[in-house]
Amino acid sequence: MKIRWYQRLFWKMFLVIWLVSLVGMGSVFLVLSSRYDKDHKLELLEARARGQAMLMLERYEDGVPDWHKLPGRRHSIPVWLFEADSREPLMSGIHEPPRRALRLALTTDSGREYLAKVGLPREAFFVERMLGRLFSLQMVLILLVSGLAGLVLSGLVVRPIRRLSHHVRDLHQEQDLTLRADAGLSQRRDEIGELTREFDAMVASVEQTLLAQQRLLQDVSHELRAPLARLQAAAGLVEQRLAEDDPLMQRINRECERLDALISEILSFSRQQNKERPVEFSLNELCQELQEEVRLRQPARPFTLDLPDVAVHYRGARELLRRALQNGVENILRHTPEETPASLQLQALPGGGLQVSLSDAGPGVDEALLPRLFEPFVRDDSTSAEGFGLGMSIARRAVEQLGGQISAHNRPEGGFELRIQLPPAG
Amino acid sequence: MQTDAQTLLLVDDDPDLCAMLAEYLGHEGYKVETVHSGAAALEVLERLTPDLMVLDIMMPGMSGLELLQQLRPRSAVPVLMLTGRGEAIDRILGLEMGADDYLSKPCHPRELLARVKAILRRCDGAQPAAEPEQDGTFPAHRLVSGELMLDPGQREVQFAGQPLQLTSAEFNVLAYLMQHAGRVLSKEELTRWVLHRELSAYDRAIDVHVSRVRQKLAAVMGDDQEMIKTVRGQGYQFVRGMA
Repeated sequence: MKIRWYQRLFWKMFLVIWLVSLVGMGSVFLVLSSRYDKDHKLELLEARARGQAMLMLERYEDGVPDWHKLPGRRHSIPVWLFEADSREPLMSGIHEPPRRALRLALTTDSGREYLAKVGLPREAFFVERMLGRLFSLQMVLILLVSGLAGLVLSGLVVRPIRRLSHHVRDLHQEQDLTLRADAGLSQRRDEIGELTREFDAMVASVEQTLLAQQRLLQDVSHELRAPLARLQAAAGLVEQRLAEDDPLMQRINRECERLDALISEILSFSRQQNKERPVEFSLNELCQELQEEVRLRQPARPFTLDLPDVAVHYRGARELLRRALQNGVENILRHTPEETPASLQLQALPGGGLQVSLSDAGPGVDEALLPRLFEPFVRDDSTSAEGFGLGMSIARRAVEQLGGQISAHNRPEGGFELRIQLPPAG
Repeated sequence: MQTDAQTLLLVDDDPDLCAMLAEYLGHEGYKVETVHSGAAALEVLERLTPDLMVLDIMMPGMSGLELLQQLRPRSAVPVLMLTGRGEAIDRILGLEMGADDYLSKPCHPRELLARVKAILRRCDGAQPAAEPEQDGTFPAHRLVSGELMLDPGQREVQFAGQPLQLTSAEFNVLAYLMQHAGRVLSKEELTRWVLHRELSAYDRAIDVHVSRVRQKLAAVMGDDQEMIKTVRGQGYQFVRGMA
C-alpha cells in the first residue's frame, strides 16, 4: 500500500508540533508585547499630559485669557483641570470629563494644588496592531524555531520507526529468521527500543517454533528409517529362505521402497527451510544436467532443451532451483508414458527476469486439480502413478524462497506446463 | 563359492540391523564382524584387516565421516558407506574422504550384497580379464605418459619417481583413463568399469573420484597441466602424450 505524504506520520507529527508551538509561543508573545505596549503608552501619555497641564496652569495663574488654548499645539491632549478640592472644572462650557480618566495631582510653582483629569485614548486599531505584530521579526523567528523543533522531534520519532520497518522488510524478503535488528535500534532506552526488543523476541520465538517443527519432522523421519532398514533386512533374510520371486516378498519390498521414498520426501520438505548461500551459476548447465538425468532414467523419452544461445547466468540458491525443476521433471516422468515428448525452455524476460518452463505433450492435469496442485499431499488420483503429492509443494516453496513465482497450466495445444518465473538476480 | 571366506566389517549403531545383515551376508559366504560405534571399529581394525568395511555415516558419537578421516590414508581398506537417502553432501564428503562407493540406507540387502561384490571384485588385486560384455580393458602392463607411470601389477602410481597415494577406486579411474588415452570415456562406462554398477540418476560418485584423481595429480604436477579433461555432456578424457 502506498502512503501519501500527508498520511505519513512524519508530516503529521511535524505539523502538529509546529502548529501547537507556533500558537503557544505566538500568543504568549502577543500578550506580553501588548501589555508592555499599553504600560509604555500610558507612561508617555502621563508625561505629556503633565507637561501640558503645567503649561496651562502657569498661563491660568498669570491670568492669560484663553489660557487653555496653548499656542503652537495642534494636537493637545484633552485635559480637565480642577482646583484641588473643587469639583468644578477651571474652564466652563466644556463637556464632562470621561469616567475612565487618568487623575494627576499637580502642584504649581506658586504652591497651589490642582487636579488634572486626562481622557484615555480609545483602544483603537486593535486588529491593525495585532497584524503588525504578526509580521514582526519576532513572529518570523517563532515560526522558524517552532518549525525546526517540529522537524527535529518528528524526525526523532519517525526515523527509528522507519528503520524498524526496513528491518522487518529485510526479514521477510530474505526469509532469514536469524536476522536481528541492529544494535542502534534494539539498545535504545525508549519505547522504540522496547518495541524492537519485543519484535526481536517474537522473531526468535517464531524461528524456534519453525526449527522445532522442522527438527521434529526430521527426527520422526530418521526414526522411521531405522525400523524400515530392519524391516528390509528381515525381508531379505526371509527371501533367502523362501523362493526369491515370491509375490508376497515382492509386495513387501515394494511397500518398503514406497515408505522410504515418502520419508525422503518429507525430509527434503522439512529440510528446505535451511538457508542456502546464493551462488552464481549457469542455468544452461543446470538444464543440461536435468536432460542428462532424464536420459539416464528414461532413455526412450524425447526430451528437448530450448535454451538461448548465450549462456544465462543467475545468482541465487542453485540447489533450490534445481530441486524445483527436478520435481517438475519427476512429475513428467511419472505421469506420462515414456514416449511422450517433453521439453524444457529457458528464456530471458524483459526487465532482467527469467522464465523456465517445463512442458509435456501428455494428457494434462484435471482442471479441477490445477489450483490446488501446489498444496501438500494433493495428487492426481486419476493416474496410477506413485507419489505422495509433496513434489509440487516442495517446488513451490523452493521457487518462493528464490523470490520467484511458479504456476501450472494446461497448454491449449495439449499437455501440461509448469512455469517458473525468477526475478532479476540481485 | 569362495575358497577363502572374505571378511567384512559392518559398522552400524543399530545392533538388530547389524545382526540381520550379518546373517544375510553370512549366507552368501562372507565372514562378517559387526561393531556398533566408530571407536569400536578402530579397535577391531587394530587386530584385523577386513576385505571391506561397510560403514554407516550417521552414528552417534564418532560419525562415519570422522572414522573415515582417521582411517585414511593410513589404511587402504575399501569402504562402502551407508548414507541417508537424499543426503548428497554426506555422500560427496564421504567419497572425497576416500570411501569407495555409497549406498543409501534403507535398502534391500540384495543391493548391499551387489555393491559389496562389486567393490570386492575390483579390489581383488589383479583385475579379472575384462568382463566379456564390456570393452573397457584394464591395463595389463605399465602405462607411461610423460613422467606419470601407472603399474597395474603393483597397483602403484608414480610421478617423477614419487609414489602417489590413490584409493583403489581412484587408481582404477586413472588406469582406465590412461588405458584409453585420447578417447572420451562416458560416465556410464567409467561407472560400470570402476564401480561395477550402472550409473543411476543423481549419481556423482564417478565425478568425485575423477576430481580426486585430478587434485592429487595437480598437487604434484602443478595446476597448469590438465591431464584429465572434462568433455561436457560426454564424459572424461585422458589427454594423450602430455609431458
